[in-house]
Amino acid sequence: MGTRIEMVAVSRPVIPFVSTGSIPLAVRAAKRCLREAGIDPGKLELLIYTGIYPDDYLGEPAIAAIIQKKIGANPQLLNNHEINREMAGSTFSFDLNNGGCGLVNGIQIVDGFIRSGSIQCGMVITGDSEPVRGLSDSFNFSHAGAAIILSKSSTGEGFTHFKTETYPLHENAFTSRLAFDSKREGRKMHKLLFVKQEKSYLDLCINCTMNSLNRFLQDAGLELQEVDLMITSQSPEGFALRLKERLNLGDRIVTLNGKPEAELHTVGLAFALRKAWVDNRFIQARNILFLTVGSGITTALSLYRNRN
Amino acid sequence: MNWKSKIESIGVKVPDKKLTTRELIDKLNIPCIEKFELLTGVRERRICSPGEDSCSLAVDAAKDCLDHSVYNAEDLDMIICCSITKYNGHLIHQYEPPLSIYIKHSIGASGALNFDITNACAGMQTGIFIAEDFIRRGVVHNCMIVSGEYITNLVDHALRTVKTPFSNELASLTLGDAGAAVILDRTTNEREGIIVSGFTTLSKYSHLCIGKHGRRYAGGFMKTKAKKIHKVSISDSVPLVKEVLVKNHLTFDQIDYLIPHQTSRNSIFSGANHYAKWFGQRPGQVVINLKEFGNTASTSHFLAMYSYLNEKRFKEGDRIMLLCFASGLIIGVVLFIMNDMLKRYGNKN
Repeated sequence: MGTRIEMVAVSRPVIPFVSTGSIPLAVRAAKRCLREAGIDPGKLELLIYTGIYPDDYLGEPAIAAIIQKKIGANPQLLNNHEINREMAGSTFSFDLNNGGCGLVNGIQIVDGFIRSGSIQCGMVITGDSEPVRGLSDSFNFSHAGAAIILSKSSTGEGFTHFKTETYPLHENAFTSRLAFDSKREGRKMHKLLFVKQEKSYLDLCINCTMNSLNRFLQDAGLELQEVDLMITSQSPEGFALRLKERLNLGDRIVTLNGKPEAELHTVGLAFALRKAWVDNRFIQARNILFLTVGSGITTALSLYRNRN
Repeated sequence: MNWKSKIESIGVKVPDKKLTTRELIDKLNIPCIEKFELLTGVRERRICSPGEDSCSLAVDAAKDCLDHSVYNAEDLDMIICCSITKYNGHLIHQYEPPLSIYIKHSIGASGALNFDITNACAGMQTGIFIAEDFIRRGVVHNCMIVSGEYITNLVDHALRTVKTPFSNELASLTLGDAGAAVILDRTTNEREGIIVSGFTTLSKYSHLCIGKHGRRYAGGFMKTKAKKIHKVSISDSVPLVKEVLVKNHLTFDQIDYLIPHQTSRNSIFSGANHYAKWFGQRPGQVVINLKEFGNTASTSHFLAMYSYLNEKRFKEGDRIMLLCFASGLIIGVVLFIMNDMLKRYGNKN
């Protein structure tokens, strides 16, 4: 028994480059995903949101709970006081934060609960948006949302390996922090989201990824030549293209050309998956490698096997 | 093989600095507020001093947890940070990289898988829920679930805005700062460990408690429809608790210690009475730990457990139920049997 990808969907602002917030974008992607998969939201038993920058600096509740309500996934208990009833038809939601690797970590958690038989179906959602418009320094990520539905597979396809690693030497190579803007002292003070990226960050990400990739392939007993399709982060900018050149993968790695796709942050992996899904490369591949990189520096890899 | 999980050790860190409810009330010129301490049960809380924040509290709690553990930091397979507040550098909120990276590096757990989760005051129990699944499947042997809450910055905002006893920021005056950490590890002993962890999110009520960072001032604020959230939490948690008891062939009076989320004494008593009415029984003891620490958000259950461990109140074999209510609205239960960890807290029982 494994965990199969039931559907992937993405969303962008209706008016290009004008954000409507990460929550509406994530909700739109989630609804699209459910609709295209033909799945009732009430079937979702676990919902994990892996975006990083909450609209209007929300701290609680979890954004996943707000999305759960907006998509109508068991927002309340039915027959509240029939206390001998089963708790069937309930959804549990929470947020997971791990930079650009959160989506793969979220998939790993849903996969685990499906494998252990605790749930049948779950969704991992993410969204990127400037929390408060205009109040950030160097926030260059595209505004977008994405959702992936995962369900129990009885026919053999699914995820087989996961591996997450960190590189402590580079923990501050990419940081984002919410703090007062000291440059505005004396004027009307307000908080800014400061995003800082070392000039060498892309190189560091590539180097860390290469190390993690070698170990991962060894653990999975796989040669690089046996990877039919590689779906990767799209952040930092140029990451997928550099990896394509470095590994000489040709069309076996999904790259998204041109803006705004090039700056996709936590949603990047899902956008690449969607592209491979639509052009049938995903369904035709046997060994599919998911590879993410993010602040920390953290790498998270996963192997998915199709039946063919 | 499916493994069971047990709580192997608990550690906490509370700041040294105290702030009494009397001091807070004196800053408010509101009629009827005099009874605030009596109703909430909060006499004082600990507050962070300069140099302390969510990250430092979490790191110190993690170190204390390791001091009570058979594990060294390098033995940890997984670390999940569950704080609502992610302050790293006094009131600088850290989004990337996650706090779990800094905690992991600070304690020397270089090989551990790490990530942060956020689930309001149910964060640490959600961490247990995730870790238990990883342990059950044999993916990891152990996991540290850790949180640091520098949440009293909400008190400053409440002091500026609370004008009547019915203010939706009144609950902020019960808050206190603390860090807590728990190590979960595998066990094959059927007479110890976690019996069940189960949660649901009643997202219809997600608007009842909202916390945000302020745009123009340090820290944040929290607005709570306290009466409504309390009413829904208590009434809608009954089916979940009933299901847990029935599935495990237990009755409510076979629970030795019920540890609810530490919000206010009045709410806990009222909830306990509602439960007693529904079940026709009472648990051995309802744990209240508000007097000295207040509501410490995601760390509150483990701060209460830590106090009871050090006061040598638990004994091996006790059934302990952690009852979660958190904004979202999350209701959940972690039910477990106390093991010999209490010996590492000086209890020879």
